[in-house]
Amino acid sequence: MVNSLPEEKIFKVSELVQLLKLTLETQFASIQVLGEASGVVVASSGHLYFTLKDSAGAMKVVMFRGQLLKSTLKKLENGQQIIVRGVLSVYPARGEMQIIASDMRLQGIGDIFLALENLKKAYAEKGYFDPQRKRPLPLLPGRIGVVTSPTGAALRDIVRILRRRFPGIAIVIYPAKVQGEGAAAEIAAGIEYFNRTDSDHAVDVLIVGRGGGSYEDLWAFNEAPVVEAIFRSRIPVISAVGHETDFTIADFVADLRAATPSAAAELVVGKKDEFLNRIDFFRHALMRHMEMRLHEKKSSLEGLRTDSALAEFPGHAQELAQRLDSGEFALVRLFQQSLNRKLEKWHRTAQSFAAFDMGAALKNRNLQLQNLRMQVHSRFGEKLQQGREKIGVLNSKLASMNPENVLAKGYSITTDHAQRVVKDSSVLAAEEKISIRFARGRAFAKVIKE
Amino acid sequence: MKKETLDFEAALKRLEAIVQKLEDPDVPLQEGFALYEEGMKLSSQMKKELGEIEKKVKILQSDAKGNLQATDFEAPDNE
Repeated sequence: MVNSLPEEKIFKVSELVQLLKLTLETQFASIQVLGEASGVVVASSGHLYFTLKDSAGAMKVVMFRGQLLKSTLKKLENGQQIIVRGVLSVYPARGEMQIIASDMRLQGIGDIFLALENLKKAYAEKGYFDPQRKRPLPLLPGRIGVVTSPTGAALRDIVRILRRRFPGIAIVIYPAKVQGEGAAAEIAAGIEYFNRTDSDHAVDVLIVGRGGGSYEDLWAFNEAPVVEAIFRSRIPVISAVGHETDFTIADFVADLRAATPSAAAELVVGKKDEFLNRIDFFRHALMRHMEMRLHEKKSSLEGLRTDSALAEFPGHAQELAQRLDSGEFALVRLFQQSLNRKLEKWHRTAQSFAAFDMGAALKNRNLQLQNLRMQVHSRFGEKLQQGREKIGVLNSKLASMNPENVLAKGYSITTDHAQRVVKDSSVLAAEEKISIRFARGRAFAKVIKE
Repeated sequence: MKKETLDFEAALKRLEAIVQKLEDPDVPLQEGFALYEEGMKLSSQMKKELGEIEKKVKILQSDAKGNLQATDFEAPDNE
């Protein structure tokens, strides 16, 4: 465009200024300029005006309100070394060249990153970040220590979230300055205090942190006093500094890094409800297993009852033996073979008596039985006695499992309108009157179907 | 304080172990009963302990002698 200008052409001023503006905006559409800010003014419109200069040059800069709100650096002060990004333009009314800025940032920021990287490297080499140093957090901390600013949003978030997750959990706050001069010393003093005290301020886990801010604001968490205090802490430390994207040396040396203070509150303790649910889950599992076992044993108890005359008879040991421990099983098997022979003989005897007068037969059978027992006793005396004792124990165990005792453990039996025991909720109709039997007494209830 | 915490953690582990043991059909009945009783007792204690936690949020402040004293901290509850 510039090359094709006719030499004879006479411009109007406004034409020339517009042409210049267009040319600059095209040729210098995106530039970055380093300089020192001076003459900083924010107009009532919200637009920012200043001059960017160095030892040998100066340039006017305007940053409109919308860009200022999104700028990396929002509050500009005279004398700051900054880098301005924007487009080179002309203010037509005065024909003055100016930069229309889209972003500005402090020049020193690069130095901060470099310093941080160097620090990180140095501590890493000293083994401060070794994974094996990281300690597990207690499952349920009795008390939680917090080292942060007493007025910051971070503390408010931590307390609010902890109260919601675990009502009643104890929190001890050590108020500390978290930015500016002396902040690192105060934060370190807080960590050291909790490590030293054995009073009822003693805590099981520490949250050390603050809310978001500039790199300068977070700098205390990169300083040696804080890093060393976390390193030496015998109490596990959760770091919670700034936003998710912020990293400080404290984050690397801490046992656990939380992205934000709120996240720290969520990491430090599980939900109270979840603890209770987990315990209830185990209780139900216990009851279910016990119920299954009781059911098994009840069947064998019933079997014994219906055949009470044989209950005592050693032949029954075969059936019971299967339920006894392997040790007992071996014992029973030892004399089982001999007993089986006796049993067969007894069966034959019993059958032959069946045809005779029952009274006499019974008398005779008893006599036979006694003889048989005496023989068994004399031959297997001690071993049989042992076996019997075990069977006796088993019997009393079985007795302890009768339904009454089950009720006494807190189970109940529900019966429907026809007094039938309810084993399946699907047999119940809505509004049906049911009866619940407890260990003591009973209650009536109506079925609610959902 | 420290002890209480460890107890809860150990108790939860013990409870889990008890349930696992009881799942094993080879565990004799008598032992099963003992495990059941222990598990129910333990879990009741744990529930009670959780329910009883009712502690305050304290903030430490220096008194006239420079010693740290804990006072109740009332954070604005926004929810």
